[in-house]
Amino acid sequence: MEQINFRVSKDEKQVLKILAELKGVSVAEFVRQIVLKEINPIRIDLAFRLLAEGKISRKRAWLISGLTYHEFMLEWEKRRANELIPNIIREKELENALTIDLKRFLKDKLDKSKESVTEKY
Amino acid sequence: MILLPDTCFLSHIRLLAEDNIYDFRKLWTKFRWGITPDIQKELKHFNLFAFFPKFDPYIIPISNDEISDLCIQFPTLTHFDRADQSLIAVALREDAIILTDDGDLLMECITIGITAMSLPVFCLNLVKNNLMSKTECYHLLKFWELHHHYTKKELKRWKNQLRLL
Repeated sequence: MEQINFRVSKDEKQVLKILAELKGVSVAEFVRQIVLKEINPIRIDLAFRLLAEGKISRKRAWLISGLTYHEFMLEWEKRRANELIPNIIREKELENALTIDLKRFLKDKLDKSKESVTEKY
Repeated sequence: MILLPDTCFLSHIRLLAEDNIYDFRKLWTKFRWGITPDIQKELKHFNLFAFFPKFDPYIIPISNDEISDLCIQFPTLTHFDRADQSLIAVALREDAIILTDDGDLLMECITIGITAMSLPVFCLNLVKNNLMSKTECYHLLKFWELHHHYTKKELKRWKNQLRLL
């Protein structure tokens, strides 16, 4: 957890104190709730704007948005969002992937290969 | 030989299961999985372990020094969070594949020579290895097309590849 400190006038503090008491929370918690509520819509717009500008990728955009992954992908669909990944990277990804024998990563396969090594010696 | 999924990849898998599109958990226990303590923290934060009750990955420790050395060797890694950095560090020292749906991490991995796959490409590989049917993969590609999760160009490439398998 991180901490933010800021100064307010005596009158402003008094108002915050009364409102916090009405909600039954501390002044700090009251201010925290207000700030987070205020920035929620802004952070979603910000996340997708930065994504569209190519400044951030999917994970960062998701974290900035503050949404669950499901909500984030619904928003992604609604906004027709895109991640800018060069063609050459996608080609290379596919090329690499198709040369890999994924069965090597299976647990059974590994156990069997261990057995055969043991048998040899 | 280990698969290293990131938080985006696992969250995407949960989304597909929750939407009744495909449940990858049936394949889950067959593979050897690994995560780092930083990925573990993210998974706990997003409550992903509740969704993967039988997910019993190897926890692969990474030291701060290892991460620092890595960032000196590959300065672009300083732009990534600690969880992504730790995955790259493991992939460089083990025979591993990073599974990610994050474009930046995918690009970085491929640029520095680490094998990395996004979920659609992982599915194509599953088809190639007879671990998923062509029909199941096709349905997934249709879902991603319908919901605009990837670009038309990317989906066209993957569909063409599926036909060739």
